[in-house]
Amino acid sequence: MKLQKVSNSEINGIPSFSKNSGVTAQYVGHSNMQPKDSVEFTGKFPEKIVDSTSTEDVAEELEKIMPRSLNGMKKLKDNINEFQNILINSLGTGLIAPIFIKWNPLSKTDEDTRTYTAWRQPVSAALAIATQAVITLPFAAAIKAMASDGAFGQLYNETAYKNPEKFLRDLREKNKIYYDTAKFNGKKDLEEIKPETYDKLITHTFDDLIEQENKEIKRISDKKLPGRIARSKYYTKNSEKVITTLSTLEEQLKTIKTAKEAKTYLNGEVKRMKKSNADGELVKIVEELRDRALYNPKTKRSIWDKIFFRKPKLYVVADADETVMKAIHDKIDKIIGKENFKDENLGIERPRGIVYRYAGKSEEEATQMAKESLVKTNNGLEEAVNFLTDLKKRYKDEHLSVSDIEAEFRNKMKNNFRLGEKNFACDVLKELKNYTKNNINIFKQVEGMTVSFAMLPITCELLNWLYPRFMDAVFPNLSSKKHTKVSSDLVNKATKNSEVK
Amino acid sequence: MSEAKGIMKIIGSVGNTAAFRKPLKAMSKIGFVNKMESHAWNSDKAQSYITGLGILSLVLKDGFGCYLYVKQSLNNKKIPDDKRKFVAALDLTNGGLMIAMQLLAYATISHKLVQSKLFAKMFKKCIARPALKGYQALLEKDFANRNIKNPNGRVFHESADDYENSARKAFAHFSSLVAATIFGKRVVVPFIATPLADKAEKMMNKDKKEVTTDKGTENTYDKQTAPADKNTQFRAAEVQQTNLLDKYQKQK
Repeated sequence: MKLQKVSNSEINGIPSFSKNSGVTAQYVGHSNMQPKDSVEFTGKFPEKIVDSTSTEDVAEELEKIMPRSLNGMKKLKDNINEFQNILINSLGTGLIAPIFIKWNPLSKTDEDTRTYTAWRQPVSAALAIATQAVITLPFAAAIKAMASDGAFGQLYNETAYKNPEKFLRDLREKNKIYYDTAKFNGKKDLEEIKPETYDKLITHTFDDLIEQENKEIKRISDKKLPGRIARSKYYTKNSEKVITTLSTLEEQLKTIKTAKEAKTYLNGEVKRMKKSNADGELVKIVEELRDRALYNPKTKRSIWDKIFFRKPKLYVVADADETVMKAIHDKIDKIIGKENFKDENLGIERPRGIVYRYAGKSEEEATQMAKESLVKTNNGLEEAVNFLTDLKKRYKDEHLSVSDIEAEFRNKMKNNFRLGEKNFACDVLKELKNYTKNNINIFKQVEGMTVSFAMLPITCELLNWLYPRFMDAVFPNLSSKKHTKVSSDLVNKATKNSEVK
Repeated sequence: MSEAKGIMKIIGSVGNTAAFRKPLKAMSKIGFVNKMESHAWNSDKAQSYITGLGILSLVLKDGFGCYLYVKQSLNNKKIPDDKRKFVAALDLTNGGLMIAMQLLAYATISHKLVQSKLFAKMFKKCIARPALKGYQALLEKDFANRNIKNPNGRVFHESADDYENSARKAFAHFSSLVAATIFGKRVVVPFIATPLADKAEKMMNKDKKEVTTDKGTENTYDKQTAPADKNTQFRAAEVQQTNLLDKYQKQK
């Protein structure tokens, strides 16, 4: 069953809506669900259907449970443009710069002049926002709309993947990708992707897949393996300490029912252990237990949510506390579990806790065992890299079609291949989406630069016109009006003295 | 909050007019703009390129703005004479230093090593494997509640990596921008620029030749002291004449 992302116009009877209107976008049909080829409008918006083999869908679902600070960062990524750049720049100009001009101990200039100059900064910042930043907004909105409805050429055109099912079908059956460029060049027929772009797209899809596997190999060699070796070595001589500490913690955790309480309790334990100079590795183990309980359900609306979404984006996972507590108990059990099992690697029966595997072994033995425990994973990754590199070469030499490539993946699936479940066409779709979105973002940035640069002389002229007038009106003592005042004081003084005379 | 949405809607409708769409369409056909597509294949490189363009935009505007501000400040009769040169000098030193400092701050903060350390300092706890194990358990529970098949470990970790990468890219962009425009440009620069402006002002005045005035035509009028206050010797004699004036003199 293929993934189908249904565009608004395709669902008859359902009113037009988008993510921005606060309503979740609709996805229909995928491998793990009952077939569902149409959506019936019942007055309620149907719940979004998730494809759990799609990293894009799973990453989106992750947002519901990840911390708001990270979600905020992820959201910012989609909104990077010249408007934000000018806004940040103006914040610095308007709020920070005046402080360092006015109260600068290194300057020998009189305070009045410094204050006078300092006030130029907020005026300039306000003008930059009003003239340079605001003008970029309708341009950015226009780019978004034009990219979506195909008013640009292929580089900035999102019509190719507006209907993902059609995209996948065309790619698998015809080895083609089509753009709707009617609004760009007036041609009614769909426009085929340029052959050189298609070639680059397939090559880059391979490159990305290879890079992903290589990254994992690097993560294992740089982080996972050293971490596992250090932990294994620690277990060899400190198994009793680990068993005692974790057994005590487990007893206490049995009385705790919520993730929040568990986090507080374990955090307290970490602090107490650090204070009493407990072994670093033991502290790390307790920290790892604590970090399983970071979940913070979204029960209150964030400022972002209030500003940009009409419907509250709140989300609570049902039975989250039980799930988190189970994850913590499972981890403890994985380390010190007493239940016996047959260890195939060692050929003996032992308690299944990992600590018993290493207890009493020499450091060299522990290092070797840790390395061996990752051999299978590493071999799988290297096999995947070799397979992808070979397939990429074959694509170039033999001009394999996407369906040929997918058949190669399926053939490998039988051998428990790591990438057996990969849908190459979906990866091509993801690659094209990223490429087009990156092009649009670059275009937006260039447009923002051009427009704000063109507005600069106007900002400068306005500043020169406004700044002295603003100072005259608000701070006459600092501006030229001060001189009139000084002169009149002098005249008054002179007159008075004359009178005295 | 509904006002914010209303404003966005208006902006959207304004942008949808030919006044905005036509120039954008024309711009999308420019060759050198389209050549930038080579940076779009890799999302990390694309993001670095966009951040670099953002900083370049700020630097170009600062350079051009500096030229305009100095020129205009020097000719702006509305700014008092005694402050005009200082304002212009401050503009000039500011401009030069701002460009240098922004480039320096950007090069430092946007460096891969600095970025990974900064990001880890702020978010390491939430993205480390133990935390991800907790989130994975929750996601699986949530999917089970909704009758969705659980993603396999590879898909989960690839998704978590995608999620983390998006957050990392935004963090890299905004931290570079904040470092360049707020710290470099607005904290460090004014601190150095103001004393440098003193020196620049002096240099500007040095170039100006002093005007020699003939003794016969020299203006002896003192703007600072009134003529009545000048001859203190004479005044002192006068002051001694009455007790009231004596009192006044003492008060002074």
